[in-house]
Amino acid sequence: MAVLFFNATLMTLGLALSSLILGLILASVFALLELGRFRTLRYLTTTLVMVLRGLPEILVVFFIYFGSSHAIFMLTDEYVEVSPFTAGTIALGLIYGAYASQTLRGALMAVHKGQLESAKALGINARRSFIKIVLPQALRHALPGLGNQWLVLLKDTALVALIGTTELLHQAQMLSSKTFEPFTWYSVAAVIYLIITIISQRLLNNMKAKASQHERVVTA
Amino acid sequence: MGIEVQGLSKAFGSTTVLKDISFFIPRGETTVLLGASGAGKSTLMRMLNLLETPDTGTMKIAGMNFSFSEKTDEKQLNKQASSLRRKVGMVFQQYNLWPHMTVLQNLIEAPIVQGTPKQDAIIRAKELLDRVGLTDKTNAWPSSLSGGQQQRVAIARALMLSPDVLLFDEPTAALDPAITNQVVEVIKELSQSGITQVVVTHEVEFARKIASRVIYLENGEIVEDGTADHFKNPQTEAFKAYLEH
Repeated sequence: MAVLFFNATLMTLGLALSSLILGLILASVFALLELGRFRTLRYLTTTLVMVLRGLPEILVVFFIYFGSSHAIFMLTDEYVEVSPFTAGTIALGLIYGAYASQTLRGALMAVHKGQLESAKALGINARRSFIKIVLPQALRHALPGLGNQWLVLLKDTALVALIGTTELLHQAQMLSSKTFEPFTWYSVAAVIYLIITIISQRLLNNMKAKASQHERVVTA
Repeated sequence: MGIEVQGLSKAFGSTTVLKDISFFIPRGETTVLLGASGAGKSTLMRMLNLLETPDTGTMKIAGMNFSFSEKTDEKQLNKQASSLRRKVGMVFQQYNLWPHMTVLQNLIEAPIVQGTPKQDAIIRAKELLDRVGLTDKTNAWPSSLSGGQQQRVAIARALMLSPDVLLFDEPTAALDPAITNQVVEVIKELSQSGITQVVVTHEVEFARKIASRVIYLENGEIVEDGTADHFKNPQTEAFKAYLEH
């Protein structure tokens, strides 16, 4: 049993972390496109983000898993099976990216424009000032929001159980129906989710403290 | 080699903020741009390092020549702007120090981008911090400094590239009167060094303390332009009234 739950926990974490990485990349792309100067791309991104945020998460998961095979079949007449893990990662990554892009966009806009102006006045080019001056400050603003969405993402991995991935929830479900001990197995799954959440919160608090070290006024 | 400006004009939409501005500032002078808010003095100063682009006119500054018209090539201008900004430093009302970098990191960022070896930049930074009286704050975060100290760090940061011209945009507007004197001291000390300084302010007392020349603006036009003697003998009723208010 321990081995089964260990593997299921790894699956949950694997799903969550790979969706997080994909999601953060997508969020940065969405946020930059929405703040960018190309009008068409701006509208397209805004629409995509609106659609992703407007649909139930489970629908996105089903759509990517069943829909992508169907779409590939229609386009190429070949049946390509997308693995539940891949489909789950793409779906959750898209959802995380859509929500996190709004957090990032807000954080980028919250950096005072004088910060860029002083860099410009010192002859520092736009790319360097974005990376060295705007981004570190924006990440600090974004961290609480991104952390929040990470916790939501972690629990959304349970949706991927419905397309047949053996992650924590699915494992608990299978053992319950086999042993007729649902209380025990759902409790085990619950405890594991909570442990991951508590560890995540610890890590996030450390990151927040590190990102705002300059705000702690040191009096000599 | 001072600053020479001919026929500069600027409009934002249908609002004309500067009308046909011409002046000459000899090298090494500390010139105050004085005027009520909305007179166009900040816009005028921001043109001197091309943070604003004039619609028309010509400008000679720090050994570079610019001429502006509708046909001005933006890309070309942007290129020239970065080399101009290395010779024309700027200090802002809100200091605009980078809060996530220490005082030292704030100072060495621009020189390092321009290829100065880090060690040399650090040596220069320490010299300048000594000059503005902040040696003990080298590794402090900006948020742990008072307003006056932050403004002195900002001045040191602008001096890191050894500019020919230093621009100040309302440098004391966010400081209380007692602290203003710290900035006055630094500006006076700098004027001894031969650097050309242009200071935008609306505070007459502060202007009197630092100016060797004064330009007074109203509604986007120069009303009075001359040496610091004009504070004692204003030539126009408008400037006289402004000094007395």
